[in-house]
Amino acid sequence: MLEIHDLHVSVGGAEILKGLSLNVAAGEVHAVMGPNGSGKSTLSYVLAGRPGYDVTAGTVRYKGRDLLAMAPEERAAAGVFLAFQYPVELPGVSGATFLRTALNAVRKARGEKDLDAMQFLKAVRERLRSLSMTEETLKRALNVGFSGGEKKRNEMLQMALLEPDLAVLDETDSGLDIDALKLVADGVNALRAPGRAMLVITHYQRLLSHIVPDRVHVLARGRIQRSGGKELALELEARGYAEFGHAA
Amino acid sequence: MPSSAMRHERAMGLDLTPPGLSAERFLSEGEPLAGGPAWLAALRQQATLRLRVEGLPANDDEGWRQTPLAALKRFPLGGRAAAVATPASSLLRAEERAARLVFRNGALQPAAGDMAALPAGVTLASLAELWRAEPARLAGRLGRLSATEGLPFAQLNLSLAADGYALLIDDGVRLERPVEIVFAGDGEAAWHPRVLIALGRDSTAAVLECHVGRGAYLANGVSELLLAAGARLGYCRVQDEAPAALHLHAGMAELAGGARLDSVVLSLGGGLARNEWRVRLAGEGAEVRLDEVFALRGRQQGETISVIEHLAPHTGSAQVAKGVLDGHARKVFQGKIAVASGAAKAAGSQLNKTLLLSRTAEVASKPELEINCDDVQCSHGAAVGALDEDQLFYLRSRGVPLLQAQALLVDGFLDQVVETVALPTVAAALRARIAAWLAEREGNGT
Repeated sequence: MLEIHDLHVSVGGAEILKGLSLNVAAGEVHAVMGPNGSGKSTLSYVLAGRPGYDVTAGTVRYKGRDLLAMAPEERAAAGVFLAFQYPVELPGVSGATFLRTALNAVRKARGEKDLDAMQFLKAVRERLRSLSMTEETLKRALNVGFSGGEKKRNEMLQMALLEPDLAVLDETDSGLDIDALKLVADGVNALRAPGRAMLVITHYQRLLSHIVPDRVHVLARGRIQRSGGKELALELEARGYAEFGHAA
Repeated sequence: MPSSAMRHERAMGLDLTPPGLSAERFLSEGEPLAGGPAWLAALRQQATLRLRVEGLPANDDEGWRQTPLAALKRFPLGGRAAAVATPASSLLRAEERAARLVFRNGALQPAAGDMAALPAGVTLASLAELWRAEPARLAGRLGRLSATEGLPFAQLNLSLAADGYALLIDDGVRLERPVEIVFAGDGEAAWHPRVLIALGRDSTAAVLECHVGRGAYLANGVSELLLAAGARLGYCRVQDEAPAALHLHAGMAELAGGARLDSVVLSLGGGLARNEWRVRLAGEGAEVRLDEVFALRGRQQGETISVIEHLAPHTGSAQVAKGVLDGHARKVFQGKIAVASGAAKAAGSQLNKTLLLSRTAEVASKPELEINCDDVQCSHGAAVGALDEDQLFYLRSRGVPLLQAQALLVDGFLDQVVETVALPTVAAALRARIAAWLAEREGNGT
């Protein structure tokens, strides 16, 4: 599904990723753990296509295609989804307008018909319920004045609606209390499917008690330093990132 | 700037050529309506004389430095081209409005109007009709504000106006639904529509004016708004003229104690559009809101020039203009708030925010405060910027293509003004027109 090979990325002239390689197969959930400043967010933004990230070497293939050659909206249409660490506020754009525009844009790119207002509402309602969100949320400007937890749940709502094939979750646990964390984790687990790959990027192990990964990778100093099974996360929790050249 | 002394010399016979564009061309080709009361004839004569002496503005006149006046020379000056059947587009459904009047090339189209549902105490009529039939109702009102202001094109309007409308509301009468007025232009012609809205004590009314058309015409309008104590007027103008048209408008308002004017202009059309405001907050507690939403592209130029005078205590003014510029479009703002010495506790604010969608669009903003009273609160602010990159990326990462993402953000930005429009039907009409503008942009792929 996702094959990253020897990826070098600079931001503003500084090299952040220095030869990162990683493969995620369909149906798998991989965790990328690492200390602050190790390049976790850079990895997630590069995968989503954010401008300002210079790929100086390496390749990223998604379903066999050159992901880096695709515009952000093309990636989304092809099934890539990034759950943002800091979801962006859109003043004047209601949640409903945003969701419907996004959903229909992706459907259009996939050659599917637009959902009308009723179909859309039906699709959203089901998912709102499972995330303990109210329809009132959709009437408000997207993410404006939302608490950290509301913003993250909103990301999960978008993910559930857009049904991506590759979901990248960037620090989705940050800013969540334990109840919200469980809700979000339940949402993610519900989306686990044989055809879907997930990359869970996190600093802490606690999210991984709820979203149990198939593989765990340690990202430090711009590269994957070590990979292992889910027990690696527990080990990191106990010992910190010191051995990888970083304070935890 | 040619001083008044220079002009005086010219008038004294040294040089009779006015410094700017010659008004003579307009005056000789225009077709003002004959007849009407003597006082009106006198006012018009006065305006004509003043124009002959002072001429139309030149680019070195204060307030006209940014205006491509040379463009004026290309326009037809007089003659109302035969009224052709332009579709009279309507922004409101029949059941949403109290009445409708339609003008084509400045002339009333009685058949297109709809006046059946007007309640007692409300007069909505063609101005030309009224000044023939009931001139007494206009005396002391028509020309009251515009005659004294030194706005040359307003003088031209007074001199040449052939028609327009009057909305007169009796004391205490509340008109719940808006009145819709359509000014449609077609072909090469010039006209000078005149508007008089006079609200009696504690009365309420809302007006939606829609200016549309096709071709290269000149529409030079003047609106006089007279609000008695406690009156409230919602005045919305959708300026959606043809891209080659020249749209000039002067809105002049006088508010008595406790009166309130809520005005919003949606500026989309015209090759050159200039919107002037002169607002006198004459009575204690009078309040005005002059809002604007603009969206310009190509080589369009839009100008908003306002002077708000706080003449009484506790008067309030607020101006919010938000808009987008694409292509080589330009927007000019000049906003002056003047607080007189007796206007204690006056509060005035001005804010304009412009989103630039291209590197070649430009905005010029010149706020001015003239405060002759200690106890006031006045503020102004201007901001210019591009769309937020993070917001664009967020939308694109959800599959929304760039142009559509821009449209969504622009719409959200403009809606911050539209959502303050009190009447839902009017707000919906504005939203629909903005959405159409954005869809055209998306469709062009620019």
